[in-house]
Amino acid sequence: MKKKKMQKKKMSLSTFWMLLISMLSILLVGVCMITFIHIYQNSLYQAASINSEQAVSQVVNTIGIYSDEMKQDIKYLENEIKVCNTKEDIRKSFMSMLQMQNNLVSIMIYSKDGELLNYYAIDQKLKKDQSKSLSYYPEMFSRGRYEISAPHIQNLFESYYPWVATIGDSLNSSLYGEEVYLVMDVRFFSILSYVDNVSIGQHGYCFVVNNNGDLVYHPQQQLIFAGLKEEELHKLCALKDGVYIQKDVIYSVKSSQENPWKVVGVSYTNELVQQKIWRALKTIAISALMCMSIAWFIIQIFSNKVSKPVKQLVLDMKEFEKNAEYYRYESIKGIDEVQMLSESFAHMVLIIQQLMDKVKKEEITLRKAELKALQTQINPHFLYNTLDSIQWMCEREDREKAVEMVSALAKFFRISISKGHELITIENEIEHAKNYLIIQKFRYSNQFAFHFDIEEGVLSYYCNKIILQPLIENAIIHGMDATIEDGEITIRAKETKDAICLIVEDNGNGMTEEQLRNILHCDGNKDYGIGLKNVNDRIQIYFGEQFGVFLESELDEGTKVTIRLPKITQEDARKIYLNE
Amino acid sequence: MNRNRTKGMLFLILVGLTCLCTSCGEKEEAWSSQIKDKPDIAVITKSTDSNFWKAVQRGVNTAASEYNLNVTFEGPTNEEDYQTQNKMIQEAVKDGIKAIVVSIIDTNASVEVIKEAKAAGVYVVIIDSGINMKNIDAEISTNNYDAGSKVAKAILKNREEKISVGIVNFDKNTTNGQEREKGFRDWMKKEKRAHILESINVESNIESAKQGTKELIKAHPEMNAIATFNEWTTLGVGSAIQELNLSDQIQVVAFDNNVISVAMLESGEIDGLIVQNPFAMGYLGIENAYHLIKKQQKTGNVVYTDAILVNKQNMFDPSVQKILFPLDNEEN
Repeated sequence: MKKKKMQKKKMSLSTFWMLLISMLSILLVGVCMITFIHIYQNSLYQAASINSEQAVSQVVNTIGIYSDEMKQDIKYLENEIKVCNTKEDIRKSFMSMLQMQNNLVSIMIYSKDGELLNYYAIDQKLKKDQSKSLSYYPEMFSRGRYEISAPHIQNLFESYYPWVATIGDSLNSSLYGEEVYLVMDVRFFSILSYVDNVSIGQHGYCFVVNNNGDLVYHPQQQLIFAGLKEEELHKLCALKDGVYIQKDVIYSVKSSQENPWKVVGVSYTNELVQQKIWRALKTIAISALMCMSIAWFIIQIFSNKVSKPVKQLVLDMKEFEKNAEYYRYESIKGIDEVQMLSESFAHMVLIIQQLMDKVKKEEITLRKAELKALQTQINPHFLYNTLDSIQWMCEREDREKAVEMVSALAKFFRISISKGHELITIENEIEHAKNYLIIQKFRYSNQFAFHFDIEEGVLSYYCNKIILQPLIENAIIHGMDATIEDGEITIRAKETKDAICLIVEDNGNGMTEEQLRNILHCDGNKDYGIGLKNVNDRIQIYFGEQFGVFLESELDEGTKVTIRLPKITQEDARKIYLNE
Repeated sequence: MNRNRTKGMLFLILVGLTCLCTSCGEKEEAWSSQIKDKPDIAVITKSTDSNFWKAVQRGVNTAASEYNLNVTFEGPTNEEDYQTQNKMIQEAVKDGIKAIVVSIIDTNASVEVIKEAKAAGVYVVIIDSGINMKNIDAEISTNNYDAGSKVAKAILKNREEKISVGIVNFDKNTTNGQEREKGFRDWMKKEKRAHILESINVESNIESAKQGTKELIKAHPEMNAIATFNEWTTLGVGSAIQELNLSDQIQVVAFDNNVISVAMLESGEIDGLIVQNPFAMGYLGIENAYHLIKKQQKTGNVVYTDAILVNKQNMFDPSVQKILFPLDNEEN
């Protein structure tokens, strides 16, 4: 859990946006797809419905036309019966009608009791047994009803079993002297073959059903009677006219106006709708995927060309912030903007570093100047006291000592000035220290002893001038004052592997650790610090942090001050001088 | 390194997608081209002029228009002519049809031809009469054994004490006739009062059957029932009975419907007809072939269509009408 939270926190804003946008776009594509498919599906269903409805309407119309013709024919026949005077006339008229109308199979006249009174047909022999005629429907023959029977087999004649539809009417005929039924059997094949040939979509078809749910005609009726195919006839015949969309099938139902029949169109959604939708879905999904992957590809390229260099630039800038002085930057190549940015940054880095360098140099120069100014201020008390001592010696006519003093003072000053150069040889520096000690020894009337321990090899190296004198001054002032026994100052110079050490050691009061710590870091350390700090600063300005003044001290034991210097040869010194 | 890897992945994904798309496109094209050049199915029957085969043709045509297929329909003129039939099968295979729907005349003589057709990748759907080999893709027929036993059941309805039966069958090499006879014999064995006098095999035409029947009746004057198993023998037996005027003495249960045999049924020469469903055979033959071509159906499918017994009493029932009287008697 914790880890997860951590990771969440780590997710950058850009990643979050990326995710959000891609999720949104996927959602959008999804919604669009669903909407489109929905609309497409609806329109397909609508088209399929209309298609099916039209086919069914056509069948209904055709049946209607066919029925109308039959009605016209039977009305004509009725009229003939009324018009004709003899049965022979009727026979002639009916036979010519039969010859003209190919579809007409036979015309019969039945008595009210179902007895066949007359029949008219071409070249057919009547069967002997007429008890079970299939063309006799008294309930359908009521006057003016003109109902057409379902197609059936005609079994009037020997060896002749045509499929017919029957239409009949009752009429009063003076010729027969009673009410008779005029019945007409009409071949039904053409209308059926029309129904057969109706197709809706690839596999759709039409069939005709009556109001009781019995099939009137079905293109595959043999399959249905053999139980190899099923239609939900009872359900379908109860439906009102209209289109019914089921899961797999679209039913279109329309009633015939002339007959108690319904025409049902069956079409399969699978081929009309679902296959098309599936194909559309596939196409859309593939193109969406394509688009997304192309977009992804472009984003990748974009991020490679732009985002990544920019991110790298940001990292570089941070790095530069951390380490401005020594940072090195090389501009990267990429698209124009990024390259320009990078080049500008490189340029800026260069300029900033130059500026920094300049500022630093100026600062150093300033500081050098400042330190020089400080260092050249020779304590006036020292000069006054020394001159006072010389005067006092002259008054006592201690001529030799006065000469020695004056000579020491003169050397002291000559080295102090040393043509304004900062670096002098260690030999000179030690000479300078010796002269100072000579003068001070007179002043303090031999209250301390000093001696030098100098390695010959170091003398020719260079060092900053007046670095021993301040330390010796400190040693005299602070080392001597409170000591009861005689003070002793040792000045040593030695060469180590990579440096030169000048050491000033006394056996005075020493310092506490706190004092030690403060001395080099605080400027405002009364009298002890200033000289020491000045020396330290000067050395470090010239030679860096690893050189300078190092203090060791123990209370009541004494203080040891070490000056670490690099080995500066005459050549080095000359270069430094030229640089300034 | 990482960047390179993602680039590689991307490239792969893109290539994959393109392949997918193009393959989809190809598939769709193939699909549409299949609609253009409809899969050709050849229907090869035993003959084409009997009512039975006309009804088969009707079923074939209905299915063909329903499934939008190009179908040829042909058969030899003579129902014994297996050589012509074999030639027709070979021709059809040569023409590059995708499936044949065939009713085999000679159960043994056509094995090689059918094997060749199958080797050429043609689906073989057998209707009506089978072949003596395995691996047929689909078979649609009347349950011939069961139809034979239906003939027996109809004859056994006769209340007479002793039933002496003569059998008039057709070509011995035709599977369905033999199966029908077997079903008939097996059922007859169940009743002791019935026994089979003689079984003759005649050519599958009216004249041969008529002569055979007359001789059979002459040889066995005690005969009071005849069973026969196809359209032509039925007509032959019927007309023999008619000519000898024995319709009241001899009970005839026969096979298949045409106008003449139905008239005989009505007038009493024939007492029962086993009516098959040739329309369904034709229809289902094409339907099965279609599904095989579309690979929507596994091979080895067997469908039995029903055969019903029609007699004088039920022949004009509305549902029987639709099976007994094929619509195309009308067509002229």
